[in-house]
Amino acid sequence: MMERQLPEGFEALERFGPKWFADTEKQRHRLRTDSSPDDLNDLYEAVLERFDEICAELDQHPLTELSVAHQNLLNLALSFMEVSLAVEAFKGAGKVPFGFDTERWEVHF
Amino acid sequence: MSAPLSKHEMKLGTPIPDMGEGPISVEPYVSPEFFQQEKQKIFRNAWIEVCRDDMIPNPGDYQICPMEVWDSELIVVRGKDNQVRAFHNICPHRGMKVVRLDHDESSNFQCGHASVLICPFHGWGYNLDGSLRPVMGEEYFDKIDRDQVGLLPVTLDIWNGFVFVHYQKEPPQPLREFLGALADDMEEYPFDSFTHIARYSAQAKCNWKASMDAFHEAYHAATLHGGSIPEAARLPEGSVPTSARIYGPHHSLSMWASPDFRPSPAAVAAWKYGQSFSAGGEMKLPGANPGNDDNWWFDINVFFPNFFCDTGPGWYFTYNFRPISESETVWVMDIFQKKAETCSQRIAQEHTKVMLRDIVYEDLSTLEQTQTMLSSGLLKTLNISSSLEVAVRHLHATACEWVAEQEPA
Ligand code: FES
Ligand SMILES: [Fe+2]
Repeated sequence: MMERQLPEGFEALERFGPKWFADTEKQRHRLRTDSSPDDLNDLYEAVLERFDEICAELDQHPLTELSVAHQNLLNLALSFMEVSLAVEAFKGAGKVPFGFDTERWEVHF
Repeated sequence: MSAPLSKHEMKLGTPIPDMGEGPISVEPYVSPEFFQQEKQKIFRNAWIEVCRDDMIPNPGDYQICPMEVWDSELIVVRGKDNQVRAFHNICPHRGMKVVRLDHDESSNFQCGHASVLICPFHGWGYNLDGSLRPVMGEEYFDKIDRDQVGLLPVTLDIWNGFVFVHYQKEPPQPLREFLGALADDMEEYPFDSFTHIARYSAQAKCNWKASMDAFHEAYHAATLHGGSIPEAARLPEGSVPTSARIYGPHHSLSMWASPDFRPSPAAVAAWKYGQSFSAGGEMKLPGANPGNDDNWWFDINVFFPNFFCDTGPGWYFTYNFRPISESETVWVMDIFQKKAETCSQRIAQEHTKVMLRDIVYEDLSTLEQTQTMLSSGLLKTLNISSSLEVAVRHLHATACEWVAEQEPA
């Protein structure tokens, strides 16, 4: 049997994996800068709608001992935060408009 | 007629020294000769912040800190006696770097752990206190005087967990005296209860002072940050700090948070479960908001010559500006927050990071374009406001004063 990607009840969000389950800010930021406005919007809307449920589910588990499915869900929520300004402020642009060159900007975490 | 900018006055927490009036000279931002003077007279006479001591928590932990402005690189290491020491990263045998790290792309975040430091060239080894260990083939050398031959020590002191170094063996002032009344204001801030959540860095072709100037005035927010924080553009009175203080070479400003601030959906989500950078923090921490200003957002604290430590309600962040030349600077930003205890707090934390990061992308975007044009020689002077840009004038005046008056070290 395939291991579940996300905790029960969150199957509808599995279509964002494994891409948006990335572990580090560095990876998530790279994904954002390389994604289209439609993709960023899609992720943003889908997670925002379920945000409180996601927090409620995750907060039943200690931050440092998450199952793979719960870690994926946490990372998906972090991806939501990653893309939030792109959608809310930059009209879906993954790169900050007129911002410093992302290729010369290092994200260390 | 243009609209008045401010609903509030900028309070002055200290007298403002005489720093001249009118336009300021462009030369200190572009002149190679001026930069050579700065290297000698500023960076060898002031205490320079390099890292936090909790980044090397255990004996044997070390951090490599590039120090281009001294034409050097430092090893900051915690000894077996728990003492933090700094050394130039140079082997007294024939000058090789004693510690070299596998550089991945994280070249600004170089740390490691060792019980002895061994030079990769001929294997000379050093204890964590810098003393030389037995040398392979020592019988082939003339007598090695162990009092003279060891890692070259660098003067180091720590304030509130921040590690500062000084070029001189006997600095003209002890660290705490140098940090002065700005450190008094910040003394009680609970720095040690925060965790390091982000680092960003970039090398920009821009003078170090011109780079810093993009970060210690709020006047640009209404225009430059119209994209990332359109709220600021809607409310241009955010351009006026609520208060400003000048303490010798250092200064601090408090930023205004609009009471009409309308957070975005992601900011609302973050605030529901934890802390965000967006205005609205209620957490009262000692050592911040020294003027007790209404609608306080955060403080911009600048320690001359090149270190920012901006304190907010539940987060703080630092910038180090490492000069490379008169027209090149490495910028490093570190963000710290109260430790996330739950998953939802962890998610909220991400909002602080991402928001700060995206705003700062805009700040950095101005550096190279400004420097390119300043270097043209077209402008001899810049036309700055004495209040909104008081920190720009103060940094300029302080650099000029140190270059004129300090002895080269
Ligand atoms: S240069 Fe270090 S051992 Fe020779
Ligand atoms: Fe800014």
